[in-house]
Amino acid sequence: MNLDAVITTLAISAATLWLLRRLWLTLQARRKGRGCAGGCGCAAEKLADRR
Amino acid sequence: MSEAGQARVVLVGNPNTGKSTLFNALTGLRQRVGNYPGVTVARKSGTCELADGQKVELVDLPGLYSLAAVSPDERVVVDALLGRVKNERVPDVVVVVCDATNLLRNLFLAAQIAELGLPMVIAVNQMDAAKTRGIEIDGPLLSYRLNGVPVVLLSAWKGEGITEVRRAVATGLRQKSTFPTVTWPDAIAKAVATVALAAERDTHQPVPGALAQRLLFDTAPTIAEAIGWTAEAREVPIRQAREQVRSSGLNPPAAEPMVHYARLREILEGVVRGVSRETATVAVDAILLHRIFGPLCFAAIMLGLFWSVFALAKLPMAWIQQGVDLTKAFAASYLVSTPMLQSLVADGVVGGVGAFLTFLPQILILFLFVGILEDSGYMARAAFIMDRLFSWCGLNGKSFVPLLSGFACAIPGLLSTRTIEDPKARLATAFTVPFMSCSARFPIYALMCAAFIGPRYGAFWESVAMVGMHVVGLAVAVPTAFILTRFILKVRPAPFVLELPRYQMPKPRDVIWRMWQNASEFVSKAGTLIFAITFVVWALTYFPRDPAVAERVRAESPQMNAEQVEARVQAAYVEQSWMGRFGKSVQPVFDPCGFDWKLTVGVLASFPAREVIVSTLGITYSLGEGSDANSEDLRSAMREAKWTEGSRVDTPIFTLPTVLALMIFFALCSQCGSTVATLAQEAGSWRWAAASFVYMTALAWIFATAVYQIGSKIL
Repeated sequence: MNLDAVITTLAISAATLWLLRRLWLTLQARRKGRGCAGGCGCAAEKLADRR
Repeated sequence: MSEAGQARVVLVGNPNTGKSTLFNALTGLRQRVGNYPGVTVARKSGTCELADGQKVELVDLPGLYSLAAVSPDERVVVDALLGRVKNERVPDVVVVVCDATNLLRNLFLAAQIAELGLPMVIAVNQMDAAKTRGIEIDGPLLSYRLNGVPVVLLSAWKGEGITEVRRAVATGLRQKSTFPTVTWPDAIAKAVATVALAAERDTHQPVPGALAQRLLFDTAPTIAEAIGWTAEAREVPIRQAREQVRSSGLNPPAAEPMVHYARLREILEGVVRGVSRETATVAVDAILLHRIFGPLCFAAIMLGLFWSVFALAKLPMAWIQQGVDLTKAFAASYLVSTPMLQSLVADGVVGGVGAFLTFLPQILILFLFVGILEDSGYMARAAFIMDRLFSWCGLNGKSFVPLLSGFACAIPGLLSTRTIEDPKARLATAFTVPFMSCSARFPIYALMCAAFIGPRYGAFWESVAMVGMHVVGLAVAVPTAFILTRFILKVRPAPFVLELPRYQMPKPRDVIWRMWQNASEFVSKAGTLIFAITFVVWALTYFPRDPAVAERVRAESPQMNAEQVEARVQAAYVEQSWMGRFGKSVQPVFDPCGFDWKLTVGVLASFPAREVIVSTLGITYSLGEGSDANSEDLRSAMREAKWTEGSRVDTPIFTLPTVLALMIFFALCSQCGSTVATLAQEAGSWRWAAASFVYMTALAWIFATAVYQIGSKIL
């Protein structure tokens, strides 16, 4: 695999993992009724503010 | 929980008295404020430094008129005052924030809190408005009449009297002065004692007189439930106690305000001077709340708002587009040796995020105007105008704040349903809030208007289309609410009681802060969620790259020049990509709406968050055009897009019926994961969230299909 493909694969994997982590945090936040995980534009208390 | 040893001070008061404004001034925080009642629905805390250097925990609580708590937000206040919040003790000082223009009614709440025996400070806010009306208040005399309870006259909005509040709270903490309690008529005192005794016997815990009063006077079972006194156990003793009161000639629900107001009038004798003069508010309301002129003014204001958004944003949007094009060109030339990475950065990240960021100026201008309308006090009037519609469809009068908040974002709108007492009415309102056209729908409306409606029909029709999309949500929400409230939930009608705020000059700092908050949220979303999604969408639209596809296209196009061949190769790659194959397989579902496979992919990708469609279209069109697309922005690329197969081959994809169908689909569809999750949380069940999702999505498809099919026949 050339460098081009390696960098592209790494970038896409990182983005996918980040999205999965965000989804997990959102579900956790909702389950515990702890506000919003952020990024939705809402004015609800952000999960990140609590940690 | 406050830090060990730190005193806890709570701010309470009637709705829209400026508690959150005072909270922000004392803590330096930026809690959401608004010139209409019901903005705060949950407790917020911060640290405040007092005049003597002592640091205390300051808690901002939702507004309420009486301790007879019914709605969830009112219960938050009662729980905080009783020290029934987990890990929290009773407050050390209660600051009762009063509206100077209506001190008598505001002190009723203070008189009720006095029964709890908590040290108090009276903050008489909005003194500027009182002075304008010719009202004078003698603070020292009021303090003297209230047994030395510190009284501060202030105007939190103007920042006047804040130091005095810091000093008064420090004094309140030191002196522990309490508001003088009322002397109850014998019949009430005896009835309260009877209730207290019975409650203590049944619950095996001490029940103070203040709680027993609430048990006697309140129809809502808030306090009874809080102390664990069951309905069966309390029914007889409470009924007997109320009979005791009735036999003395007093009506139990009316007795409490009657006794308190009689005493408060004595206290305020000579404290409040001057007669309230009629102000400009009355004259302006005669027009803005008029049966005919009111709705006309409302429509004109909305049209003017959207027209301004388009007209003022044109130039900055063009600058951002130029910046995006330059970045794309730079990335493409810099990464020429790594073609895959070049496409990822130029077509994926810059194309996707850039298409989204182009709408930043419109978002900024929209929230500037919304902030001005809210702060001026007009938004509450708009709610008043809409009330006729609300009451017809059976929605609760208090639904207006959630629905109004829903126009910015459904999530705070759903949270504000906590102000509604009746659980069924709360549920009906929560179900209709997602129909309000939130700001996340704005980029797709703006894209369609700017690409197709504006260039062909002009700025006026652009504004009409924008207002129309906001009305569509409301027009569907009203019959939905009607069916829900009348036939499914069977909600009892409730009267609409709304205290209209005074008109005031919007405070530039608050308006700009709100604009900044929304803009930063928009940009941070571009830099996080949209940024990450562009990688995934790009990968799905780029791969697989079978060289045989390019060879086949080149062999089929011997007459074309190199540039035309390259464009066809790129288009063929996108069509056979994973995204292309998926889009084409699902496209038949959306074919009746007039959506091609790229729009289908955009619509499906937008279910977690609506704005994703703009970046998704940005990538699919960018990749399909090839990397040297002559700086073609998304709007131009969409204007030139044509059907490549089927009966509509070589005709434009984006006709007026398709554009309107797409906008209506986005106006009605449930495309926000966070909203669905919040609805489940507020409704207490995933079933309602699932029902909302299915109902909204089905309705969106039906309306979009109807618009496209009928529009295609007519136009």
